[in-house]
Amino acid sequence: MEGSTKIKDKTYRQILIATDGSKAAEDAAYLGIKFARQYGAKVYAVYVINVTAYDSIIMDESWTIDECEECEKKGHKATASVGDKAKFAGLEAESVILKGDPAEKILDFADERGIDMIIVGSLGKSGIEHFALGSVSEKIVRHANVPVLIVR
Amino acid sequence: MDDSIFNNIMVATDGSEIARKAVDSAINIAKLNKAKLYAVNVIAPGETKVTLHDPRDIKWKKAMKDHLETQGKEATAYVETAGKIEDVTVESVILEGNPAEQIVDFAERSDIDLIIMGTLGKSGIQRFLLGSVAENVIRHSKKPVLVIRGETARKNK
Repeated sequence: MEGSTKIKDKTYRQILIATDGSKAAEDAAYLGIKFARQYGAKVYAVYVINVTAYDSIIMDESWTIDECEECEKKGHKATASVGDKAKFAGLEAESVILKGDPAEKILDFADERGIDMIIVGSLGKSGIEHFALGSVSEKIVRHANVPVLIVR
Repeated sequence: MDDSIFNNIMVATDGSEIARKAVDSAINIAKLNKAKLYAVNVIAPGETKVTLHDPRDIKWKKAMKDHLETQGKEATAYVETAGKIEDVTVESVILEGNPAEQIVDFAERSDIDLIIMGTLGKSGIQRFLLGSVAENVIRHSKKPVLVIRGETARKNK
């Protein structure tokens, strides 16, 4: 099975798969993992808690903290889901939860860890969120130093 | 055991250095997947806005189109050569019109499962335009798009 697959090509050794826990991101992750498997790459499942989105809303402190606990739970669930799939495919995987501006955090992380490819879903929520998240992948494409695979 | 995930891959090329980088990636991925690779060049003679007041302008426009076609053929010939070396089947395609639209349409009708393209090509204004081609393809394509970057995007962080 996977273990017996001979990996000759090491073009991509470390692949970052960004997820926001949406169905679209899950689908992107499947393709990303299949892709990573062809190179025997390590998968970083990355979720970013979008702090900037909350900064812009006036709210009382307690709500912010509760909300962020929710965010963190969501983040753990999303990255675990991607990480589990990667491990199932016989790959090394690491879950990463970051806080801040999603595109910036993903780009910084990619630079710091020497990521070879970033995989993002062209994220599929609704309304304004769809627009905002779509722009995350656009921002990543515009500023990434490495190849970016956008999966719809 | 067959690990192939792509059957038909297309690479958009304008013959620029960054497009060549995209071509190299495309060859690599096509080879691993035993996929067919379409080398696509889009000529956009319509973009050269010539006002046809003078018969010489028409002649100029025709010369421009010929020039673009020659360039396009050179760009796709590079992919064919690279494909021959790596045992990847390459088919060259020259399209005409708005580049992003043509790329997205071609991917739809040719059952492409991965589009590969560079973001920055050539220089100056052309570089800006080619960047926006990739962005428009991403925005409108239903297929996965792999964008290869030409140079360090974030020089001063």
